[in-house]
Amino acid sequence: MNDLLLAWRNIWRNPRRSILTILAIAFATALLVFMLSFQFGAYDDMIDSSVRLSTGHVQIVAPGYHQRPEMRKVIDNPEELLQEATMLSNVDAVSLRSEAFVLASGEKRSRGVMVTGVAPHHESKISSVPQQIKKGRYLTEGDGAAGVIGALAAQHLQLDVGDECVLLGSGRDGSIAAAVVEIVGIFKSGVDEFDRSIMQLPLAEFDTIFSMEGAVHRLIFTFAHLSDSQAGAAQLRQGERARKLQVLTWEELTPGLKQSIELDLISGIIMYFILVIVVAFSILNTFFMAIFERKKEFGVLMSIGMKPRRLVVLMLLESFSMTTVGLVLGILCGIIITLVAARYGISMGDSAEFMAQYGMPERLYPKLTLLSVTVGPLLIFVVTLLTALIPVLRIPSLRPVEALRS
Amino acid sequence: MRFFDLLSVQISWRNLWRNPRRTTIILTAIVVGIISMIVLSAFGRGMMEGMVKNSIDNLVGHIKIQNPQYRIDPAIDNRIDQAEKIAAQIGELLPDDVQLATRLRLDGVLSTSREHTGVMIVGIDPAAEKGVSFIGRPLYQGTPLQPEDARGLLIGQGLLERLGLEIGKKVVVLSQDASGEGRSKAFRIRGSYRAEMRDTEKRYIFINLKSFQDMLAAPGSATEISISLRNANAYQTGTVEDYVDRINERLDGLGLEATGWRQLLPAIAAYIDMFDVYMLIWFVVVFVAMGFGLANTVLMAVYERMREFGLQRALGLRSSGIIKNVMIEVLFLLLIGMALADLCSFFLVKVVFRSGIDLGSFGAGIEMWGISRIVYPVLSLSDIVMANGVVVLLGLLVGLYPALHAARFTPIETMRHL
Amino acid sequence: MEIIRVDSVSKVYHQGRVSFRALDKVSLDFKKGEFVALAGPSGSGKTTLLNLIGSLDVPDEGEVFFDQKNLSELNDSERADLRLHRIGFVFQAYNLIPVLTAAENIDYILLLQKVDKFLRTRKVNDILQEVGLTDKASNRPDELSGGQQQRVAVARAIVTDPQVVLADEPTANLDSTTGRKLLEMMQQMNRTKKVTFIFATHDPMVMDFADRLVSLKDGRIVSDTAK
Repeated sequence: MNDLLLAWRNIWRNPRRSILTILAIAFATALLVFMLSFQFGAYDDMIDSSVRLSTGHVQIVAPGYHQRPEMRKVIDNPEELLQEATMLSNVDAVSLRSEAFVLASGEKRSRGVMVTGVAPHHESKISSVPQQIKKGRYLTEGDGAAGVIGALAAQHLQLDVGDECVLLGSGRDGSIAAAVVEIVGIFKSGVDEFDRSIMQLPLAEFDTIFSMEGAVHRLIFTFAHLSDSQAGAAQLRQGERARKLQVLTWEELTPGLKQSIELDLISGIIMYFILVIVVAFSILNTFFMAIFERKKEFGVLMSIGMKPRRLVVLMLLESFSMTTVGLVLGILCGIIITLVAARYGISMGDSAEFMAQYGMPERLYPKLTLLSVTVGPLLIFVVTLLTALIPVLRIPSLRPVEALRS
Repeated sequence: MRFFDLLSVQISWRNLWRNPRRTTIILTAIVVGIISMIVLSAFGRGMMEGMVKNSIDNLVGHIKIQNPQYRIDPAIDNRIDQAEKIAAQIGELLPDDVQLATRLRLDGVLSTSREHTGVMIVGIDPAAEKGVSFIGRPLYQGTPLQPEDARGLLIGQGLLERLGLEIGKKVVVLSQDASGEGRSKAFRIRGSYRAEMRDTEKRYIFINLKSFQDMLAAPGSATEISISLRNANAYQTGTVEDYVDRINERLDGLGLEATGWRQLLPAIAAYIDMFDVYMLIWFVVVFVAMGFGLANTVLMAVYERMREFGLQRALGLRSSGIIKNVMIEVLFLLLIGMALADLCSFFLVKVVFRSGIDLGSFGAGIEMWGISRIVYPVLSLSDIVMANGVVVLLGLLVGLYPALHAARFTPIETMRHL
Repeated sequence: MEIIRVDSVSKVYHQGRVSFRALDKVSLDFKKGEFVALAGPSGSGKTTLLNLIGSLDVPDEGEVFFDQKNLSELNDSERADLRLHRIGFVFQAYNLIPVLTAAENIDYILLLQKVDKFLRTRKVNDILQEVGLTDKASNRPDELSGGQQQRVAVARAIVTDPQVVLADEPTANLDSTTGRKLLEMMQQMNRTKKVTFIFATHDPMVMDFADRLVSLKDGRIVSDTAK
């Protein structure tokens, strides 16, 4: 007959009350498991779509290019650096990009457009643009003076697949750069700003038009996992050539994304904390009751020589077991709900349009991680045990004679 | 028998305080729960209203008159001719405190001696923008546009920095006229502005409407007439829709169309609609968390008094009477909790958080979403009613469980439980 | 040779503004192996005296010696140990832990004494047989009659081989036949094991069984007669 078993049996002396208490804990646990999984999943999706759309996990640029992009701030001989970088572990894909601002003109209309030179073969491994072609096709290795353009830019320029577009800008050396490209595809990412301002050309063609002489503006890396990017960036910084350049992670490239995730996470944590406090007060009465209705029994136990400390342990074991049952039940429910939601995705309803502007996917998929399954329950565990301490710590001041008389 | 006879009320009230600690604990749960509902929804609403206001200030306005084609294809072809005349006509339709701003807004290119970048060129009447859009607010640097200043230009601080420009420097602005011909003109930077969203700062440059019209040889043209209502509740739908209908009647036959901000900012409008749903979900979640405690506490109180209920039954009280007494007790509990929580929430929102919370440390994050740096909580009557409503309705529902239990105790049964 | 010496002990209870002198300078000795009844109407101080002897409470004046040891010199923990190892208690009701079976209730006190498992099992079986409840070993208290419950309580009190068993109205909730059987059982134990039994009671049957009858009234001893 050990104390744990005794505690367990005591819980079921009043099954209705214990079940309500366990359900309260399980409810909060399941909710937290699901919500945290949902948030973490959404963050991953957000980061991933931003990374896929434009930034990559890590970039190497010439010093100062990130702060003030200018044509002349280039990376010379990028192939060498590419060789150096591909040696790294965890690197999933690498691509080269160059950018130039041009005045793009269709037959009647002109507007400023950001032209990006990309290596089509590498780009399809790194970027989501190749999958977002709504009309025509994406660039291929053999393409010459061909380009793909964002849907909104195409609309404003009144361009369609097959049309010619005149580009006018300045080259790396400041000379006038002009070219005619054929639109082979139109993409739509859903992020208006991106669709309004971007045109992609094959890197080789870009090189010729803008007299890049083999230089590029950005080296873009993706890693097997998002979490590798910090370590990857650190490793890249070790490289001999990279030391003279600037290595940036996605957090530095899109600080807005990182900080809005932090803001969301913090407001979430505040809400969960309040919820757990409400739950704690909800179950505090049960814990009080479990002690006060058994005063007499405690009196008998103390009379026959049980020390108060042991009673405290016994009562804590009771709360602990009850909490554990609630936590286990809650974690299980949370996991099941999360898995179901992860399979079908959660539609953000009417907000989806709002989110799309920030590159958020239409459906969000919760993601079960060790962290999302443990953080919430841990918080609840700690708060419940602290709650249980409040009534339990009154036991030592209980006098056997008074307890017997109550 | 009246439902709230004095005796039942007295019995319930006294029963509630037989175990003050227990009542206090469950009241705390209820109070913390309701406060969290009201205060968090106030912050959420404050954040959202800030977002709506920022978006409306972002050259949108509450109502906008445009050529319907312009929204699909924002080019000079889809302009408003004789904009001033139309604006004056529309002005007559509206109350005096309504402000109208006529703008010519077109894509273009900004060139410095070294670089070019794509921008949105907006020709404005500087005086008309005060209180209507962010450009009507004091500048970050430099001097405002003077009405007759044909060469003056205002630029976003973000773009100024990115291009390495300074106040007083010369830039060239290029855009297309109605024939598709590129037209350019040199301007001097008079000042720089700050906007809630960094993207705005990098995208918009402002010049005098007249000088833009001259540059494109399109006298009297504009692309939009933006209408701002002074009414604080202007973001509520009713009034706006009303005006939109009236304006559209007048515009009939001109090939122009007035649109409310909800149609202009469909994403924001959808978010506002979802916001109420999110809040309701949060309310219900918090309620469930305290509902378990409420059910448990009342159940305990009922079981303790089993013999009393038996006695009351023996004295001839019907089971419906017992249910009533327990329910009155639950109602008391909820009402006290609600009153305390409402007072505390009011105090928190109006006193403690009166000056808002500063989200400055998430600077880049809030800029991305167009959230203001300082969020002021907004108490809305509908949120308070909803929070209290959820608690009292679901609370009574939950209270029914112990009440029905109490009604089941028969005199004989309870006597045995000595 | 005395096992317990009560030396001019007084105890005053305060309830609100009213104070109540439960014991007034009571002196009394108990010898090893005695079977004593403390009798008196309710409020006479018999339960208070029993609690002081059992070190559940401390006197306001005077001293209680248990086996030459002054109880007022012991701290809470030492008192708990004393109760655990040398005193057995039987109360009027609510004696047993409701979630434990008869055997487990007895086992639990041995567990508190840190007796090893093998010995525990043997002792529990022996004592259950002694009180005639072997067949009820795995029944919980609510499945036992009042008399059976009290027998388990006695078994629990005696299983630790205490020097003294203190019983507060053990027969109050029993009918006379069951009460008599319980008393006979306790008398038997008193005779064979030489355990001192002290009862607080107003049941005449208990007084009949006692070898010595101490009568109390208003916190004072009015008579002390050995039979």
